[in-house]
Amino acid sequence: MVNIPANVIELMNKEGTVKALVTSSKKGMPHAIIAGTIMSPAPNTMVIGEVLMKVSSKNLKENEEAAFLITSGKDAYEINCKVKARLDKGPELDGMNKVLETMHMHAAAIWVFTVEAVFDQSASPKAGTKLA
Amino acid sequence: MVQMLPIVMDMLIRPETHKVMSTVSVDGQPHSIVCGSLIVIDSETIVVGEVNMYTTCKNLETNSKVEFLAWSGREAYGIQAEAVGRVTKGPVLEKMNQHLDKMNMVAKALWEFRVCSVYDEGVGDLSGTRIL
Repeated sequence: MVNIPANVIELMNKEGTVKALVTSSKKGMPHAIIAGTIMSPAPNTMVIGEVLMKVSSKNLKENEEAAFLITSGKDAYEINCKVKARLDKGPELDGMNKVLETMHMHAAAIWVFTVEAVFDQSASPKAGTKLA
Repeated sequence: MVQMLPIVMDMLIRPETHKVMSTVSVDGQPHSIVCGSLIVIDSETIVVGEVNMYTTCKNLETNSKVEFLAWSGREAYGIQAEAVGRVTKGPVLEKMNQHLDKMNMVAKALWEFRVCSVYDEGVGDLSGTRIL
């Protein structure tokens, strides 16, 4: 387990930053989704709300390896993670659904991940550099 | 093999559209990159310039399955494809490098992909529906 660097968390929290979850089926077919509910409640943890996440949820049940792509302009980072838990009740889910309700959306659960590695993915020769 | 609808090709072609390409390593770790150097050759063929694509290239050597996610606002399409070749010379690569030169970038090669299926990944009830 590693901690996400502060500048990556800062980019994640910036308005306009694009955040994607990428998973893989057990047969090795990748699948990416864009989600506004992606966040890091602690430097070693990532979460996402399960909103319209049919294929991703199926993949995560088959293969616990996942990655988050965080990008804004020429800056991009990839956070490799492993599934820790799927919470289908509790205060974390209730809090997320209060926010989602204002957008007429609903999360069936929250997926919680432990952070395994962080990479620079910027459009530069630094692409692929392991940061944590 | 399927043929992309004009609406999907248009989404891939438009420069302002966000595009991400995902691959999977031999041990099941998914990986995504922002995909700026993408060209639609025809309704069933996509090529991508090899620019700072270290992990992606390594993944493609052992697993030819990829997914392109293209989105603009609430509309999004997931295009599943298969790598069918890597070319290191030719007019398409030269043309791409003329364009990339303005951004001080160079593509070492072009990866060619054949489209296998297309999914609606937009925000809405149709999300996850196979359309081709």
